[in-house]
Amino acid sequence: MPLLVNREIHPIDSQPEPLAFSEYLELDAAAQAAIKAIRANGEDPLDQLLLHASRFDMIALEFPILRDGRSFSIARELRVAGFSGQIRAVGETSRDKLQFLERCGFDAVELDDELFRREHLDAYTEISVQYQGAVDQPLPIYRQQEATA
Amino acid sequence: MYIYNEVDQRLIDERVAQYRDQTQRFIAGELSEDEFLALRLMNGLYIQRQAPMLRVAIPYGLMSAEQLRVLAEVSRDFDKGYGHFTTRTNIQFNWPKLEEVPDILERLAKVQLHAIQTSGNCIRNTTTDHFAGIHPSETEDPRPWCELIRQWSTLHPEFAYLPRKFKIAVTGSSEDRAASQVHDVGLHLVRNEAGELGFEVLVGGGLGRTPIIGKKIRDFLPAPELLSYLEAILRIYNLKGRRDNKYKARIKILVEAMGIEAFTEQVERHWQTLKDGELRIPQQEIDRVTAFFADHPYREDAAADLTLDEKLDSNQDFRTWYARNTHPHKQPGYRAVTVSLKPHLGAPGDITALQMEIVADLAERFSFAQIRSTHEQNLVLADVAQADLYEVWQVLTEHNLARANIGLLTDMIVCPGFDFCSLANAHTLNIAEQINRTFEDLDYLHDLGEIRLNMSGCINACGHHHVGHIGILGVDKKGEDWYQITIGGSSREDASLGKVLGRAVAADDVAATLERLLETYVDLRVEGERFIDTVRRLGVAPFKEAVYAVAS
Repeated sequence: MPLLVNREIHPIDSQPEPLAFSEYLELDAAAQAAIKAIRANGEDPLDQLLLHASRFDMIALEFPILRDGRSFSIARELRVAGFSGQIRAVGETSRDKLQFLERCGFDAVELDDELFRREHLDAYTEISVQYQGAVDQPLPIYRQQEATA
Repeated sequence: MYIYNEVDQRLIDERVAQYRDQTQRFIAGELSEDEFLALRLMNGLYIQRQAPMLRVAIPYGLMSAEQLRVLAEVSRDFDKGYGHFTTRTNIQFNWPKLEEVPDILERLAKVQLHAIQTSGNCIRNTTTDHFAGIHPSETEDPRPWCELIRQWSTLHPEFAYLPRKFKIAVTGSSEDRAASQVHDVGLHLVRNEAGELGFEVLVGGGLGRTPIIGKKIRDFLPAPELLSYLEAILRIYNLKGRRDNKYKARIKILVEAMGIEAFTEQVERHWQTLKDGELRIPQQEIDRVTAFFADHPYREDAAADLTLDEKLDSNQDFRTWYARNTHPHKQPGYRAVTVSLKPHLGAPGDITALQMEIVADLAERFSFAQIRSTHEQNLVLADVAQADLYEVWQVLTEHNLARANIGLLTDMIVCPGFDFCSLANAHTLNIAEQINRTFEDLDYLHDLGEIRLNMSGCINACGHHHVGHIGILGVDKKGEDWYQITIGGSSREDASLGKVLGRAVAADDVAATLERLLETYVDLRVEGERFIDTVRRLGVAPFKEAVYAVAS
């Protein structure tokens, strides 16, 4: 199971799974201050997550099932709010989501894929046209030309 | 119409290559059934009862003659020589081979066609008025805005795994020919008191298991903020829409659960952070896209033609067709022609490869090489000079495309039903045929006047049965097909949901039931009153009584 960080392959870090954000919220302030990484998903209160985000080095956003796309929006909201730590996609990630993940602000992805091959990194560059602004390219297509002109 | 630039073309070419790779990995066993399912659906490929089904996008229902020819080619080379137009104004091929789909897409991409987001839980093809840009009563042409939505929504990275599918319709007229009130988002182009262009925005409409008329979320959205506002709506939906039950996952359920006030408040609050930002569409871009939809070079003297009146006087069949299947045009001397895909005994919305080519020919010769598909499953040649109508009619007649039934009972919207669709509970095509056989007499059909009959083979309501003046829903009762009839629905500006007439009827009794229903209407109507208006005036009761009296 590889970990991709900024499109590069790393071994999964040996650290224990980060604390769930819901459990983090139960802690007192002192205990909270010691927490540097959490995991969250679409069930967690987004306003709270945005409020606490700047304390973390890493936020793992879960994709509990293949069809659950909430974490795309959560990642985008975190980046727009100025979160600069690592946002890691965990759970039902896949090669075919890599480009969308990156566009929404994920810089790291855990891939639970025994068949992972280096060629899968091509997924990041399969589509070179971005009609809409996102985290990677904030300008929609009609402002991209303007910007390069 | 919009013509791709190099960037637009590159995107669909790259998408074809990407999908080819995905297909190859699936065939090689590197991609699970489940993963490939999500990917192929986002590219319009379903696995149906008989074979895969490929749905190709016709963005806002506008295509060129060249594109229609390629669709004909594809149907011939990769399918069984026909296609089926849908209520999303797309075209479906029912018999492609999974492994050949990348080749089909490659062929389509050469003429700027694709299957991106024609299914799956993402933003689908935007639909609009099939008379956009030509109707005399139009406020503003909605198509440039549809194209802007198309680009913004295409491969949107954040909205590819929504809770459920998402459909947007845009109108530019006080008349609603796009069923905008039963869309996830309905957009109505309007001008404010200052004369500025903007949108009235509806949200949370939809059909399916829980039919709901859309609710107004904003009276006036400045037009350049269209995409920022859509992004706000989509983001709230993506974050808050239900994920636990696919039947409760559409935005309409979220809007109902939150209440329109609370939903509006959230969208507006989020929108405050987006408006006046990067998504605001610069005037230059609006102008660029709008220029693609400029008026055709119409003949100034088209109205001076005298031959039309002569033909109308001398040929009754032509006169009937003209009255029913042609429509007013803003340019004097021009008419819009509906090409009926509702022949006497044929699947509604189906078209053969040859017919596609014939229509493409006619478009090239007489209608500026463009064709539109309607959500009522017909085609439109939007810009035909009156002097050319007779020849167009002759050609259409020769190819069984001129049945003078547009807007009449047999101009049915019908989903493919159990014969093709794996979701269906009941057949629909046999019932359509039964209705066609029973209501064969054109004079009687014309006497019955405007009736919208919509039929779906299951509760998912692809055939829009809730908003038919007469709606027919196929249900399965212990392995048998039964049909529930509703009356009083409309998808127009006066949108309403049909009410159940009474207990479901057996397959053999559908047309007979409609006969009794319509005899009752003829008895009860006042002079010139349409079926829907009689139902609205009197309610369901007298119809129910008359229809079921015989059986009980």
